[in-house]
Amino acid sequence: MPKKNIYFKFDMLILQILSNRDCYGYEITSSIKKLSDGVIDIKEGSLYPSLYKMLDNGYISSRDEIVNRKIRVYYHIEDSGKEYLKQMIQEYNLWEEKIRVILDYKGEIE
Amino acid sequence: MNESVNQYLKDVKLLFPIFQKEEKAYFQRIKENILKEANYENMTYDQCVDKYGEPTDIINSYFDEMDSQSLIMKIRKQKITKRVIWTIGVVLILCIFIAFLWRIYILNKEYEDFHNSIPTEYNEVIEEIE
Repeated sequence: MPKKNIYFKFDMLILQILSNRDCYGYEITSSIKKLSDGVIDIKEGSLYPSLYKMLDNGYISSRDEIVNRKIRVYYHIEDSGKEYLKQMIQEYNLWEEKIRVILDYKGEIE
Repeated sequence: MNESVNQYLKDVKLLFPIFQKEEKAYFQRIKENILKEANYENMTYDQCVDKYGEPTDIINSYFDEMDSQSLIMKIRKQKITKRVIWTIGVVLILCIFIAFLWRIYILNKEYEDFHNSIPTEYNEVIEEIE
């Protein structure tokens, strides 16, 4: 997987996972990995910049829970986060559609 | 703190090409997160890498999230800070050197004055009193 994706942000994937249920860091990365059949393998450390930014912007919130004597930080999507996700998905779909057009280009422009 | 986790965090910190206020805050957050979430007492360095990624990945993602304008501003700010520190350093060294030369001059002058004040000839005058 390329280190830097050019037309979508990890925010979109994280928020999509969180829109189904609250998760802690490892759950987010493992869900992404499972759902993409291992193609998108993001480590937890790479999630932090996105998570912190979304926490600061109020798109998500966090809470600490103690599970098996370990503290787990659970993330929860807020209403503004749902709106942000909707915008990102629209933008992504538009990009995907246009990229598909370019890839199908056979040398003729109408 | 577990030595491996400590080393991992050190490596992450060392890899920041710039370490200003925002980077310090970000690093502090990561550190707290790792220490809070991980069962760090039993974690090896490889387990840290497996869970959180290579230290370089953490740095890459941090700068990926940053917009290029603020990154340019940060680099420019660091350049200016470096230049100011260098200028102050050079001026300070020059001042110390000039003060040192002035002190040598003063000491030399005092020595010469003292040396000149030592009489080298004695004139003995014998007067006859009537």
